[in-house]
Amino acid sequence: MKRGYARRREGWGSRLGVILAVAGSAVGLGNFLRFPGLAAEYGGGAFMIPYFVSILLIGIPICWCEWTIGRYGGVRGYNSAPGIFRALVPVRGSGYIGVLALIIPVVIYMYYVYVEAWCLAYAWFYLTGALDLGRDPTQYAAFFESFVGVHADGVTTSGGLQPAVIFLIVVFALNFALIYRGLSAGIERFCTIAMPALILIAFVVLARVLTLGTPDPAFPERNLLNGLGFMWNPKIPEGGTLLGVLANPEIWLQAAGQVFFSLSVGFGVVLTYASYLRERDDIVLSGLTASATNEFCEVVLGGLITVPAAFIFLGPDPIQQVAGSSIGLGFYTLPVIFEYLPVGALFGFLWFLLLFLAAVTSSLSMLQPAIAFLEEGFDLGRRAAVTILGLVTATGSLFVVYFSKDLTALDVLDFWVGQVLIFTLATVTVIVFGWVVGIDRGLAEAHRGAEMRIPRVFRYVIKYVCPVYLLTIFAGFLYRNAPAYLAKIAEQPSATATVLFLAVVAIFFGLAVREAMRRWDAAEAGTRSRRAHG
Amino acid sequence: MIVSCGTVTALVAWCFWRVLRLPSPRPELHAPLDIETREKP
Repeated sequence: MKRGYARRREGWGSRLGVILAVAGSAVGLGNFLRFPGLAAEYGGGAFMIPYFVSILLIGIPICWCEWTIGRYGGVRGYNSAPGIFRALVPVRGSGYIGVLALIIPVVIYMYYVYVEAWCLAYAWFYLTGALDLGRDPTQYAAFFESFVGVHADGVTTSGGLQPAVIFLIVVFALNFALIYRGLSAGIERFCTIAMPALILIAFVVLARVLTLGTPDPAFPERNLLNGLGFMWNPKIPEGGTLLGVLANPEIWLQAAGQVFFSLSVGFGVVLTYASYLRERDDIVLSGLTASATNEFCEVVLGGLITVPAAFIFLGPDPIQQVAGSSIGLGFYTLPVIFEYLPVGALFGFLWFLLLFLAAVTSSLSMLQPAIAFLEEGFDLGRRAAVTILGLVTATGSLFVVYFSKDLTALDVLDFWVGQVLIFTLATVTVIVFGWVVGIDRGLAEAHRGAEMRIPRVFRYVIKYVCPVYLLTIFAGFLYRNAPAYLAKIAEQPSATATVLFLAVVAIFFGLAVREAMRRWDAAEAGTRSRRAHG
Repeated sequence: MIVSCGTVTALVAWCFWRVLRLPSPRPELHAPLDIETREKP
């Protein structure tokens, strides 16, 4: 059923534009910092086997589900997740599923924009020569911890405007200026420039890494080939086998988690982005292309730059110390590498500019779901929707900045929203697609206007394998991590405050969705009444 | 490394080759749904 009243709808300007916007949403810091450290830690080349299996079994299938559900809702006049799920599942209250797809991107934006500000700040520091601390990684760790106020809460918000807050304001303003311009003129135009620029910069840095050779004759073993080998050779224990390495469930858990978070499935962003497509726009090839672009940035660019470069200059130990930590690899270890490189400041600037661009294309996508919801749920104009969302996210970001001790607020929000809720929404989405909508109806909808067919095997993958695989990973993930985070809530007042803040945000969006659905119900009842009376 | 990077590069190249050779979509014809009528239910 079409909606009861009409408003002027936004739309994408081009097929390439929407692909780059979705790819931009997925490509982020994890591609260049988290993936290489994780791969090096969990078996090198052996890690790629569960990684590629996870892409096939959960990454690409869930992407197709989200693209399909999003376009389905968009054709019926909805661009926000509550409206989309309400249109998709004709059961009273189904729109509440969409609350998750509002909370997730908005809350992640609150802390992600702060990390984005660090990247811009570091790019600026390299450009102005302000980050020249020698070759000791501990100096860079100390600088970073002072910069973001890791030692005490409220450090960066007291005593005048601190640099971290100034850069946060700049980045915040940039994001909202772009989002205010709209979907096509703001997000699409920016991503169409930023994504090719990001890949070009990555190629420049990659070319430098691949021509490093053996920079220090005192350490002949620290050379390019050994650096690539450290990252990519399967790490099989002496006397062990590849099958023995793959029998470790931890490697599967880590690989699936990386694929899952890297492709940005379960964010609610793809649902909204795809809702701006037209009924017969292709989604199968477009979804695959966006996912493949993300994988290219992660495996080829991320996998060949950071860890091999760190190995060549520092050897394996510093990498193993920070493996799996994006902050450790990005802000402690890599700045040391730029000290060793000729014209290292230029490469430092390029590297952090690359990270900044990757972060902006992601953070922009996190704002659009809530903007779309405020516009269509309350019939607000762009200016009003942007203002309200700006106030909400600014409050959250200041909360994250204030509770900076050990980055507690950031860490707690990232765990409960950036990981637990994402798992939940992705699982719900794939179950709705495969079981509630029905796999036949779902795939028929996906194939409307498609430029390629989804292989038949994915019928079974989406319906059976995906939910089981996701739930298994989710259970393993919670088993490993939840006790520590629950204990943190009980023991640390800042963690307790963060969870309470999260509850307030959830209630705010829950009530907003209830009011929006009441308005949609009233609008549709009015339309039916007018039709009945001629 | 060669297999992983080669597979991903081949996939992304194939996808963009398919996308870029598709004809441009026809300009959108605005149906009544897309026009702001200011009509309230």
